[in-house]
Amino acid sequence: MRDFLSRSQRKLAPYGFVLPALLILCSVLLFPLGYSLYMSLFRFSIARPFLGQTFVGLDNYIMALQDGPFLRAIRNTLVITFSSLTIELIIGTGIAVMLNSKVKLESFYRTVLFFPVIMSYVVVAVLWRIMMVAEIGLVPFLTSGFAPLSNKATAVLVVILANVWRNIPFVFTVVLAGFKSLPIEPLEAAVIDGAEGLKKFFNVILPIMKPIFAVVLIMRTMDVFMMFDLVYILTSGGPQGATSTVSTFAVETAFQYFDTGYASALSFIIFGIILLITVFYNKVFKTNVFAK
Amino acid sequence: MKKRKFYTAMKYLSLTLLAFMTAFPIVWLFLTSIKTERQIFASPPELVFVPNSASYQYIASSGIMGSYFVNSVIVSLLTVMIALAIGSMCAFALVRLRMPGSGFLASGILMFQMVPPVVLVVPLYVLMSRAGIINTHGSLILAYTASQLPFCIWLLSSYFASVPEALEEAALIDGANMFQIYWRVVLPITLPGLFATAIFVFINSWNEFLLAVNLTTSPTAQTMPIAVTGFIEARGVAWNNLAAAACIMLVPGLLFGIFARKYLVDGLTTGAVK
Repeated sequence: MRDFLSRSQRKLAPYGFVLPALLILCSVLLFPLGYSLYMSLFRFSIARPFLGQTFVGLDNYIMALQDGPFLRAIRNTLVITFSSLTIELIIGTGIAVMLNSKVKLESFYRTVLFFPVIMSYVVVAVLWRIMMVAEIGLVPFLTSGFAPLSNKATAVLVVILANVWRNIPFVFTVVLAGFKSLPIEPLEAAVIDGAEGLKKFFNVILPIMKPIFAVVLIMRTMDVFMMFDLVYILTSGGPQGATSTVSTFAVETAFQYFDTGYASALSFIIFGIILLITVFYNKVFKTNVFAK
Repeated sequence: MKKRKFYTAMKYLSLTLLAFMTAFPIVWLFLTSIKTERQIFASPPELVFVPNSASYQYIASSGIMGSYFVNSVIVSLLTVMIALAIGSMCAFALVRLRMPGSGFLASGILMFQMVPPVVLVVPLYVLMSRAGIINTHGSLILAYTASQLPFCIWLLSSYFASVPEALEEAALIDGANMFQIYWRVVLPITLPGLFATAIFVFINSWNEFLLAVNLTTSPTAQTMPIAVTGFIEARGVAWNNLAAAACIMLVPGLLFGIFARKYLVDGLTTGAVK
């Protein structure tokens, strides 16, 4: 197809098409990223510029690894991520199996079950706060006064619940599309066969579905691990830091304590953990999800 | 046979239960928005009550619609237009125009998808403050366009890749240049894909909170999520107003969810399955 084009057009035109995107990506993503890496080596506050910036090398990173509240935030985030993913995958796959067979009112179920995934985390947080909060919540009423958001353990559970509620639709939608794209008989038969059927599900269907589960897992892991809005609005990290996540902790450091250099270092540690998780998944699934 | 019946019964029971658990909190949110303060605090909760539109009237008269809501519409629509224009050109070049380094470029762009928003918000705040563009529509549009471009390009690439190359070759023989092929051949054929991508970018921008709350400081540029969270205050929450503002935020998603679910599902699954 190239022979019809003039020489210069053939050589330069493609770069013209790519240039606007590259300009935006470099100036609004790549440059800020580099700048943040640079800031992470300084003791510096955007709110107090008169204090100047002092080069501290890797001190911010060393400080982070000894910072109790930050380490607790990492632990909280891992707990929330792991629990959410497990529940999302089990219920989401279950819904996909059920919707993969003949269902009356299929379009009704699909429309209702799909809805939460298009909702803003802001609305999801408000909605669960209204359900759970001590003064007016339905759950405190039903449990005669127990307020889940003011208890450390149950506050974490509420965050997981809200997160799972919002994201099951994503899992079942993608898994269902996977089932439909596969040349296998409907799963219903497998389920009805009981133990035999379950064996078949794990031995035959799961291996074929592996690439799809890999993508679901990796997209969901990154999303939950970076979670900010939901926690910030639902619990603000409380009670007593029990639901504080890496993102809420870094944002607090940057925009409440204005410890800009330190916050940059924290955000790069978060980025590093995400890269590690990605490498881990690529090893486990032996597919490079991002090289498709 | 018995087993099959049992399975079918269980299936409908679970689906109905799950649908109820999905819908109930949303319905409860809406009910809260049409209650009075007294009804909200009533214990046991009132299930049958006279609906009251005071919270919506309050929001209509508070100027939220004229500022926050309009800002959300402006920022989301402009982000959609810019991200789609720039993203589709880039995706077209990556998929169709053979150029040195395009493979490297494509994987580089995808790498950006892994950048957590929290890594961006700190330097963007610092740089945009220094450039004097903090608290403008432009600051949000720039940030949203950049953070959504990688996904946008990824999605569009897979739509463009499905266009038969023969069509483009025919256009070439007819004397079309690259831009004409992109504009007259590829874009019209992939219109459903463009639409799916546009809905995605719109909803993501409409819903976004982290960048909005930190890059804007006054109602001249602040968006709906900030208006909603503004009702949560230390000295007490106006629950019905909070719920009403949240319900207003839900409207575009509700419309897309009912009338364009096909495109949403398509966008969600294209990256993962195809």
